[in-house]
Amino acid sequence: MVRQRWWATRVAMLPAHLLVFVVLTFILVRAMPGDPVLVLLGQNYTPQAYAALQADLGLAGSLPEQLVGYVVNLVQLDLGQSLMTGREVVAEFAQRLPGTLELAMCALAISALVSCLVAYVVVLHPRNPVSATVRAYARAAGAIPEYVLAVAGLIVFYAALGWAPAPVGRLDIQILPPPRVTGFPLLDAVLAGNVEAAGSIVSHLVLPVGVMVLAQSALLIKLWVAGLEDAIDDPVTRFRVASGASRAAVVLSVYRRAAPPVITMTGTLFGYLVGGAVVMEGLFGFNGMGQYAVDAVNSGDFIALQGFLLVVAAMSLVVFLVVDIVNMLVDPRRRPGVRVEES
Amino acid sequence: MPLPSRPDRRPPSGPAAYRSGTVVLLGVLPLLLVACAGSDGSGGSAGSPSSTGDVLVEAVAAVPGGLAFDSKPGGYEAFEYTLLTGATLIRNPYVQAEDDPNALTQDLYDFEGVLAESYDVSEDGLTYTFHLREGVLSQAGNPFDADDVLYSYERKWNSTSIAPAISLPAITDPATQLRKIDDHTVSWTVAEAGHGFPLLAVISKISGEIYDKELLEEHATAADPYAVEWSNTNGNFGFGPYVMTDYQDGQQISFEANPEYPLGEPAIKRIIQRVVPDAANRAQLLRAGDVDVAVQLRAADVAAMTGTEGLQTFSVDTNNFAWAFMQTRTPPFDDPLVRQAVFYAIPYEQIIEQVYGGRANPVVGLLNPEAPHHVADGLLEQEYDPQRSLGLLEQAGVPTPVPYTITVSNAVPDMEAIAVQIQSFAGDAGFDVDIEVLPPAAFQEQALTKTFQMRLYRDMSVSYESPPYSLLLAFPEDNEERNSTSWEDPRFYEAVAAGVAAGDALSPEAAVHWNRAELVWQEGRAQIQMAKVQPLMVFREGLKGFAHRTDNVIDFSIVEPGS
Amino acid sequence: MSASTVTVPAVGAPARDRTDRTGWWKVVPFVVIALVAVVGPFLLPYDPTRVVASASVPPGGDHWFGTDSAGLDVFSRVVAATRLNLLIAGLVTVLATLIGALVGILIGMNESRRGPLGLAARGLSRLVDLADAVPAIVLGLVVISFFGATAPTIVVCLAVILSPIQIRLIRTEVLRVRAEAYLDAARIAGVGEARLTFRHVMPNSVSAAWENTSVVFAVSIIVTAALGFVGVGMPPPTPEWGAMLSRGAPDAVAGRWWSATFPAAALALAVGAFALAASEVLRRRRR
Repeated sequence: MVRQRWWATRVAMLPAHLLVFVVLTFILVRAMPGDPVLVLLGQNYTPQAYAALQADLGLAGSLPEQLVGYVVNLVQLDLGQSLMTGREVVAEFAQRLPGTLELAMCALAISALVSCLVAYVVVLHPRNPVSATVRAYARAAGAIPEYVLAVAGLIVFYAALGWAPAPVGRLDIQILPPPRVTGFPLLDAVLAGNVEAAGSIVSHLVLPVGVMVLAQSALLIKLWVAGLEDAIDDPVTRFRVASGASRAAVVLSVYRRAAPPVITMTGTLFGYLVGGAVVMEGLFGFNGMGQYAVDAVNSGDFIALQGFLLVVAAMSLVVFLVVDIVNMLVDPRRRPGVRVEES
Repeated sequence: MPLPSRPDRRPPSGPAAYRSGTVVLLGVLPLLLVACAGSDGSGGSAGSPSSTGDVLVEAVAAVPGGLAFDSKPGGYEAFEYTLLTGATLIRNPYVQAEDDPNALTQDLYDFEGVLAESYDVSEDGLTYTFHLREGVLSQAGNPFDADDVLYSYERKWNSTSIAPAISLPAITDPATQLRKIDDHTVSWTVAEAGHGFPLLAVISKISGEIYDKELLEEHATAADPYAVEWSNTNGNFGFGPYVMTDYQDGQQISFEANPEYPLGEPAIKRIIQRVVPDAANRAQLLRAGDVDVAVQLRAADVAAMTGTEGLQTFSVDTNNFAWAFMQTRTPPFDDPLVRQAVFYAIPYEQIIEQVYGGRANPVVGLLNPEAPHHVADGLLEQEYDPQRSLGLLEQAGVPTPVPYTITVSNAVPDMEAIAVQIQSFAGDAGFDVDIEVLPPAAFQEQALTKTFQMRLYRDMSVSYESPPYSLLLAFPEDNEERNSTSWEDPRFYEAVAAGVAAGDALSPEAAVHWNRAELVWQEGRAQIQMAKVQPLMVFREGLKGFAHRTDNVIDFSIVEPGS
Repeated sequence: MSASTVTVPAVGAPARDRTDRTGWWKVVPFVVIALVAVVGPFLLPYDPTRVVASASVPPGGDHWFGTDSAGLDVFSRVVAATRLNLLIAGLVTVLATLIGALVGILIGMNESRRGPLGLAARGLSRLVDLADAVPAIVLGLVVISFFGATAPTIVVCLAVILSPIQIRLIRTEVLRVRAEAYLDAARIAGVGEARLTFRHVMPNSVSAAWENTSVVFAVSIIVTAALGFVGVGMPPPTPEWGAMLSRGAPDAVAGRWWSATFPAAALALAVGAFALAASEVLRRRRR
């Protein structure tokens, strides 16, 4: 029982952490320059018009009053209305978040798979020239940022060769989106049996996902290689080999012991992809969460920005928690309570 | 598919210079009929959107910030949305542009009816009576009448609309100026005859859109008595040439031609606005034939596309100004001599050639030089002259180099490029320039709090042709908040008032006063007009009917698919 | 422990039996780049911040790397930017590691205490988690829009944003070191807690963070550049690779490849060279 308590506490504390987060971001975001009321009024500014619009947007009153109002709405899962578009922030997320998540999960799943396989080759066949190349690439992990790869990819595969479809988001222009069921574009297309739309979505995802995989797998390969080499050198492995375990069982055990840092990094990458892949989203025309945050900052829309920060932070914290639980299942020594990993 | 062709209402095009009096409905150019004959069934190969005849795909930078002009004022997309789905009482007729055979432009000194059939002016020039078209239906199917007109202005003046601010000085209070004569007649009354032309100039632009009263009243609530918020998210509350059929936030908006549009159903039956945030990608999509029209391109890309096979760029004179504003309350620009020195410290030719690839025109004075009876006496031509700048600085008695900071918005890359040019060439002219780049919201806030020294931006003067409008746009009288430079000069306002008092704003008598005002403005030099930027939209070849408008958006109701 | 507690180890050379001399060439690329940063600004053919020619001249005799869309010389700018970029990345790395050491030790030494100090340490630990839950680029965007895009604000802002990585690593190590027997011995010998922390705990806990500096260095260069793409990079015409890259990217899409390609290559080279050099230095340290 005691062993399970740490994660129950973590789950229970999640709302409290988020509340602290809300208060902090509220202060930070409100301190940003760029008064949305002024932006909205533009040429039409008069003190009267300013006061009227300020009240209209719910921005009148002292900061603490506004904060209390915000939190009260938040408890009812109301993130307010975007100051710029006048739409419900929750509704805007409902439209953007699934697509962003789908893209992130595609990129992450493929990265994980690729890095796993490549690391196997590198570690077990170190003399292979491919291994040397991969090793060099992994060593410089992140030397070529993904936005550079993306621009280069667009120039080569879209502008020059014409292999990639136009970077206009997920669907060709003439194809109507499939009916919204889950909100996840590809999943919806598949559920609707709409082969044309699904094909179009897949073809639009190939280049951006490829770019992300190329950029991220280097980091994961680096971790896998280091972890696998350590795990192979470990006496545990020698014991297993000596005791006549099958090759598959040995490999599995080695991977299991090398996995936790990779899993942790995968979690971090996920957090980064939901909201951090701004540049990619802009280049490929995906109407994603990162773009939303940038637009919100540029227009001084702090209701939208606050909503964004909260949602992304909440998701990240949940993912961090899941990562810890998965790590614990993979390697019971990592269970908090063991001192080094106590949380 | 035959158009509801109404030849009786569509006289042949030509130099239709009908000044005031009866409005002649020019409608769409006869080319439309030709295009339409060829459009049925045809379409070329499938797959490429550009070849599907009467469907047009436009690459835009974003969806509009809101769909109601009265709620959220600005932005290219919002203006274009208003033009697509809204209609005004009158508009400026389109005529062939002088400088580009493939482009049309507005005849800013003539008007034709849209929702009004005609109008007449009283003997004293104070009352304009509009005879409204009968049998017009809104997008929601409600009939159009005088109540819609009155309701529209009531809403504009009782919401956060920018319409009241930009309708000055002609319209100050619609409740007393706008009257319903009968169900199909309304009249506008102005205080002085000199306000007559400015009145027509302003109600013929997008801020004069007329709304569907019945529809909006259905959706009014106590908190939102004019359904501004409702219309801002739902759209389709007017009488315009297109109906919005699909809105996918942040991705795509679709429109279909409105068969009820009083000037006839447009030739382009369906418009898809696809959001492509990256300007370079928008240009590339057009090059690759994936879209028919790309807008808000970078000047460098448009210049590079000029002369490319399969594409049309347009080189008409515009009112899309690259402006520099100086804040005159604090040093160094509190001294008019220093501001005048800056005028000679800006490398205009360099800006036009390098930043705009030659696709911009020099500017002289603040008013439209094409206006009838325009007087240009004493207006200075743009000139980079470091010696004169240094001389003026010496005269001002300030130590050189004079340091100042240029602020630009990160949303407008050509302004960043201009700032770099100014910085490079200011050194020889006695200035030491810093550049600050801000997000748009912070940039706008600086204007209001007057915490900038010089700010650059590109904007237009939508009622450019109206002298009092253009003169007072940046320097409103007794409105310190809206006057970002804080420059005021009693002689300036006296000259504007004298111009209005001279009767017809376009008369030679008034022109003398407008010139006086311009000279005071020039001496005060709180604003420098650096260039007029040529259209930043590009069409695929074959599309016809591009018109430069003073709101700098595309009127798709006159565009034809072509071959 | 939460996510991103990752010591990213350098991928060491597989052959472990080599002598010390074989790897020296690995630090050469970085030394060359550092040299460029130091002497480069004195050897430029053109003023990197002034318009020197027409816009978008392709690479050639007069302008080896061409000119950008404003008419600035790309070669001079790429070289001149080396100093600023290395300076920003270097300072961010040092500062982030310093913050990491201070906060990491503070948390690690106090979090299991009772009373207000323990509470504060645990709260700080949660704050670090929260800061890490928002993507660096978005946090950077918000903070830099607030303070303005100047080199000092970018350094401080990135150092704070990237410090959680180092804080975590050091905290984990502190927890390990704290249990070591020699600490108890020192305590019994009457060594004060502060002295204990700085003399014994700190030197023994920073190694993981030290090994991780190559990652912080790389990330700081890349995030600095990414800030340009979201509009809060260094203002023009400051020579900085990221700003050059983000302003040149639209030109590259239109076929004028040079104004973005050269800074991108410089950026990749610098990151790669630092990673290579760091792996070698760390390999020697471990022996």
